[in-house]
Amino acid sequence: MLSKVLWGALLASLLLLSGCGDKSTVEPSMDERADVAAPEDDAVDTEVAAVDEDQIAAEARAAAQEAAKKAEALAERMPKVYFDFDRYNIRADMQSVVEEIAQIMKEEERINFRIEGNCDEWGTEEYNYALGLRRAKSIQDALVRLGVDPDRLSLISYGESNPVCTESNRECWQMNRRGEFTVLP
Amino acid sequence: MRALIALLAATALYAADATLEIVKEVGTALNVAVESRSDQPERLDRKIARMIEADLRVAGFFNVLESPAKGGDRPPMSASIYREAGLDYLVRYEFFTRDGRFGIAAQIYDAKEQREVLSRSYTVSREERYPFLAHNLAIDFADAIGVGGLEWMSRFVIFSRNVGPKETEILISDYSLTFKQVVVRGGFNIFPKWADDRQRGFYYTHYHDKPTLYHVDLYSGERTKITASRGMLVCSDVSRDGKRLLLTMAPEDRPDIYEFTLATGEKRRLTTYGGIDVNGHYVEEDQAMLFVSDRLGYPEIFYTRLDNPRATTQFVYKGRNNNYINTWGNYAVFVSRDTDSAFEGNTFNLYLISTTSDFIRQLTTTGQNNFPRFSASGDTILHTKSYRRESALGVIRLAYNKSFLFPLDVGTIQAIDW
Repeated sequence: MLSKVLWGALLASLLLLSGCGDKSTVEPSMDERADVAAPEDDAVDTEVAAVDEDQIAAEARAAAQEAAKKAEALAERMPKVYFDFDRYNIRADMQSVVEEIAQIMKEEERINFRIEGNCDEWGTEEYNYALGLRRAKSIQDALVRLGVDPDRLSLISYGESNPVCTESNRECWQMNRRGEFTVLP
Repeated sequence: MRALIALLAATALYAADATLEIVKEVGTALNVAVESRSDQPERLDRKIARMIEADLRVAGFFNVLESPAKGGDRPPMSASIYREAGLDYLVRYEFFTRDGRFGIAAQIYDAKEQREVLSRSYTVSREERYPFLAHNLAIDFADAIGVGGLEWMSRFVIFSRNVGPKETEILISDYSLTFKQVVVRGGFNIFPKWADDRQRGFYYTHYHDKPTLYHVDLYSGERTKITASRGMLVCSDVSRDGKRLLLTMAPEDRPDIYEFTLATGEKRRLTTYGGIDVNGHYVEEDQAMLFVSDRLGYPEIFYTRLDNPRATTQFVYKGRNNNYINTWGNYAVFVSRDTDSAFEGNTFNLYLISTTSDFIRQLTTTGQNNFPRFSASGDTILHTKSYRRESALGVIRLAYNKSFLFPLDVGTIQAIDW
């Protein structure tokens, strides 16, 4: 079942109420109809069905695991680029970090990267998604100026939905105002 | 049992401003008491009573008093004890279960006129849906006495909440967030937005290979891909006829606002600024748009006509960080960051403004207020509030110049629509 949205649950909850006294409007209960049409227990998730690990050939699985390990190790080598509060320009103290990232990317010339922009908890979500994207874009522009092929770089924003620290203090907020990197397959 | 329906506060807002038509004169509040027929009400029965009382308070024109009749058999609703206690109305209900359903049989009595104004039963199929028993009773009560205007109480709220890094779920709830039900689970699904006034479906963004906008039909269960974008994708607003969307997306890796026509799939770019343009909302019968942009070097709200989006003007002249907007008709409520610190908690307040007036009305004064959403009728605003480590759901009754807070225990809300 591809659609994993919980339709039954939703339908069952949609029209929760039907007047049933003498003075109520008499209509078929959508609630009951919904219950019949799609029992809540049929609820499914939105993700495509989970991969059945047993059906993957052992060799392919081993190769995938090896590639994932390498990608993870490479991603961990990539330093993070931190930003000032509510800003998306590359700070002076982050220039050397960007240069280090550019050097790694040039050494790994067959690998593509995704730059992920993130924000602290301040500000509103929609604006923070845009701010995160602009941070990723600033990093991309800086890397391209240092000679990295732009075709190897894609961007995405996670706004404030991907914190590395969830405490409410200045150190935590600074850690979350960052750009980081994922190795693409 | 959580005291979710207990109101934390009911505070008067700043003085009403007559230049905003949305504010109207309010007469004396009507005194009302709520009674269960049961001598020893069960747990659910008590929850229903508290929800009825909460709804009547939030309505804005009732003053909820304790019943003067204590314990034992209830006197007739016509008894003088109620009149003498100064009640205008008495709500008496009986909780029942029948054929697997849960319900109340309610009577509302005019204590001064000595007449019954409403007698009606309500049922729900599952216990946790009990808030709708109270909400619908409140709606009918207001209609029966000629005040009306509470239909917003029965509308659904849809919201996404963070359950982990890059992991969310989408829920529907009643307006008080007491009844909650997960409708999208698994993965990273954000920015749910009702697709039409009747709440028959909604849009949301799913992060897969790249951010993708889906429409979900609640009645058929069908999920339809609408469009996708690099970088980010948010459905910020839906036109009144449901045929056009204002999207923030970044096909060129910078966030701009596009108008998307559902019938044709056409995307019309409305903003071209190289920085941040986001959060587009229709105003003036969908002929114009308010949106947030950092083109002044900080987030601010701008106005543009859709037939000439090059002619953009600054809309709000207040403070230096206004970063979220919601609209109803020609009115807008926006979030303004009233402090500016990277090192301590900031204050975010809500303000009301109109495209036909320069007046700005402050709606909140403390804490971090976020996600303001107008009701369908425009006279009520729902929002979240965090203050001194407490989180609450706020309901602002613009027409009655009152605000109410419900304890909020749903985790971190990512986005919300009403």
